[in-house]
Amino acid sequence: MRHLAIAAASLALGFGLAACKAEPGKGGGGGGAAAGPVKIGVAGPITGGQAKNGQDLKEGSLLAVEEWNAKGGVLGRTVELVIRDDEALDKNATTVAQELVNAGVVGVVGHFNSGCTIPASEKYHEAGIVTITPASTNTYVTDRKYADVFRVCGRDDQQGRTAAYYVSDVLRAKRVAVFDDKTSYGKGLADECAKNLEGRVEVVIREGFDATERNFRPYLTKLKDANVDVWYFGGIYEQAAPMLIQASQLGIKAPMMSGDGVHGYQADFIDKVGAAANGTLTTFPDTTANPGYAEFVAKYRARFDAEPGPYAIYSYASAHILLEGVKAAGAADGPKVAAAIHAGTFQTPLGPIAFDDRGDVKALDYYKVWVIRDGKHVLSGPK
Amino acid sequence: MLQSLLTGLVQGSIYAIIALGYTMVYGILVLINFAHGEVLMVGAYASVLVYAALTFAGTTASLGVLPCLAVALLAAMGVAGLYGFSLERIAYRPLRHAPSLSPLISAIGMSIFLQNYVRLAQGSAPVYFPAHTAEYGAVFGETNNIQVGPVLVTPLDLFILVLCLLLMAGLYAFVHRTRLGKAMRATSMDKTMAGLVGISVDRVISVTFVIGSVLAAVAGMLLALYTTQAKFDMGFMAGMKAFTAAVLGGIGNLRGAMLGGILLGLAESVGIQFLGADYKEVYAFVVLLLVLVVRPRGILGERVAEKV
Repeated sequence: MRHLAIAAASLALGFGLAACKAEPGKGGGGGGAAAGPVKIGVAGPITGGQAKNGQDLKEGSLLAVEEWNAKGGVLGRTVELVIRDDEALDKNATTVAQELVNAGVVGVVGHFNSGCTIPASEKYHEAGIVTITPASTNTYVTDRKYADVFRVCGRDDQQGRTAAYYVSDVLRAKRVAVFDDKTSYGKGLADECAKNLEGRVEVVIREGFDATERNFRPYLTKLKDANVDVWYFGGIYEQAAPMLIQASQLGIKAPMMSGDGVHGYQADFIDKVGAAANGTLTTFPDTTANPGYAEFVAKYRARFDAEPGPYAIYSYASAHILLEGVKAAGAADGPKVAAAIHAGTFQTPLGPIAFDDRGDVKALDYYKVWVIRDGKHVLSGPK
Repeated sequence: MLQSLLTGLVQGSIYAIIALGYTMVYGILVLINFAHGEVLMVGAYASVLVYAALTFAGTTASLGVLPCLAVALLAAMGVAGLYGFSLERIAYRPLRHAPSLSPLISAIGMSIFLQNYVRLAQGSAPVYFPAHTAEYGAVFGETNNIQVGPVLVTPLDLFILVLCLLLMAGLYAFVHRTRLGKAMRATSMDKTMAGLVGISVDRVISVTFVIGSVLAAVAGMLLALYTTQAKFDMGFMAGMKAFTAAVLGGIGNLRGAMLGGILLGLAESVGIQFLGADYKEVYAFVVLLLVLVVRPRGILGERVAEKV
């Protein structure tokens, strides 16, 4: 029996040790070895409550890298992905970033969550590694104006504004509640929305709760008493799903509105919530309108036998842009690649992409409002 | 205000059921069973998986939701009871006579092990209670909500409250009215003396763990119903809160655990209502601090001679 206990304890310890196993390698420098493969980092929530996002990130990047390798790689070298898991927790982000720095990657596709991207990109920036995030929408990600940090998606000031104007001008709401999950993404987005609502619509509740919270009844009963026309949630689908089920159990009729963190998760969000999801509003670009979208989805389905989530196409485009940058720079060297990405225009399934001096996509103010009807997102505005 | 009292009472009665498990084990072994929250999580998974299977097989539609919930509950209780029993045999019994820090470390180890085991076996994404089916909605949907003055009572609130009160009353009667309960009380007073008068101490300890785990399984299923999902790390916070509740009420004391759990739920809910959600986790611990300043052994904690 004693041996069993020791075995159990050492097994449990083993999990912890495996998680912090460090990659032996050189300490930093974006260069990578002169010969051998070109290494690209991929970091995001591979496991955890947002594993769907991690899957999109991983598989989107993998698809791009496999296409490059099939054509002979980049600069005559094969491309290798180094995938790391931050579980969407900002406390893991810098550890993961250090691992990728040690692994000698030239650039990173990721992270996914703004709260992870912001601290991790500080490390990448120090080490001269390019960061291209496919999904972090918090304004601060690019407002630091680092020359080697890019994002392929939109910004929260854009989508917060789109949401606020829809609430005031299309829904003509009088009373609104605004919640967030206290993460950089959720709070940042909810703040942008609330800022734009100011003076036009009355915000009667403005509150945040932990991203680990799963019992929303204390907030929802408050919401029910406040008699709002619509309520905004800055956060991710893993919380929005139980929140909507509980809201329907309490008989809350006002619709929820949220951002890109809740849009496009068919199996993980809409199907879990069922009929209670109908009427939910989201802000997300109309990616399906892009000419390359159908081709991308066909390729993705053929390769992974799965449906791509909302950010798979962004991850694909990010990895593609990073490799185009390496090719244009003529060397797997971070600063040179960053300069090449700033200088170029890249053909992606999202259309041609060029970056402004902050690292944001040029002329990308394109958030649309969607509403869930009969278990599907339907385009609803802006009108 | 009244609404937040109800919300607090429901959440608090779940805390109370979990706290009972902590307090019973502490009463007998003077051990904080840190793996208790993980047993709850295992129970929650068992109930969700069984209920989902019944939904898939169409049994919930043909037999009704409540009988299926009962089946899921029994399955969860069985599985968690088995886990509790094995936990004691594997991780605590071999260390019974070791220095008191050793079983504590063993408990933390088991907690980490169980969490990661379920994470590997079931995945890190949550599993949802199939709450979107029509028959579930017919029982727990908004059409059955009752408006009592300013308070909205949902059928789920009633279900949780009634089940928890029944269990608390049942446990209290078991400990105070049955022979086995008497043996438990005797063992908690003095293990050696209890052994000398013919009580099988090992058996009593096993029974204590099984009962605690069965209660945790019920709490796990209620949490899964209440939050609509089960997740591998759900036991951690629930366990911390319940442990706090047990200390608040006076650890080792059954009535204290019930009182502490309900007080904690009320403190959280009323705090959110009046001071906002941003510092939710603070309210419970502020109440704990205030109580411990005045009554260091908890509200109903008994004054016992220091064992030096």
